[in-house]
Amino acid sequence: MADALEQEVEIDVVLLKSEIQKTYSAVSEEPDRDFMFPTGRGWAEDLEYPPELSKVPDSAVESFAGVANPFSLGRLAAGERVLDLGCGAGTDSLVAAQMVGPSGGVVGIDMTPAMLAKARRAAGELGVTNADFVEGEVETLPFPDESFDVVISNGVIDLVPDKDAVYSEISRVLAPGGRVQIADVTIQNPVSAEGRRNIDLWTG
Amino acid sequence: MERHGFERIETGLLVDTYARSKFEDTRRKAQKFGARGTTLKAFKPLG
Repeated sequence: MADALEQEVEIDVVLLKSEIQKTYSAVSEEPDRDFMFPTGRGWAEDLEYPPELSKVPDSAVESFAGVANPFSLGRLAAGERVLDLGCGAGTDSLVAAQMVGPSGGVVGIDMTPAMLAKARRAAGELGVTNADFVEGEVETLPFPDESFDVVISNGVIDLVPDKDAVYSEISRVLAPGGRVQIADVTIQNPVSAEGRRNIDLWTG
Repeated sequence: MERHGFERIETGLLVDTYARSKFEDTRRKAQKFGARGTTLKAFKPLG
């Protein structure tokens, strides 16, 4: 039984990525729609996001689709270099940009262009100059070794089948002594091989 | 994460994220699999 549950399951990664992009493009472009997961400012407030959330423009926060609050494990320090994996419309990046201040910086990476466009617009509205947004995938980060002090992420790594690749990349880009501070989905009960092949369970 | 050399791994409280879903089917599946939001902090060793 345990062997069956631990066996490698083949996932159609191309289809999965396409479905994820479809779902999160919709979160970006139609934020008032009902999604399988909670979204928006009310949800971030319920998660007790830090006070910096209040300054993040609605244009970003309306597409917030985090699963928990990565800042609940501690604030970021002034001057830190932060990477936000799967930054979406930029809520967490823009909270982080305010925390680290002008002596620090945030880079958000996401594979959904519609989300990145919103994040860049929101950074302009907020007036921060220490946040950049880059298109890319979290399994192959386009950054040099040891270039960040902190990696944050919210509800993204659970969507990636090859989690070893993600953690390997996080380790590579973090400076020695750096930290990962993430929110993600945990599954408490076993999921069958058939369940793990079900794309809807991944994207939901 | 330990496999990738991280240390001082700390997890936060579980959050009933999907209990907030507008869709009954999602709430039911989340309950069945025990899907929750959580947080995790870990450090890359200095040396």
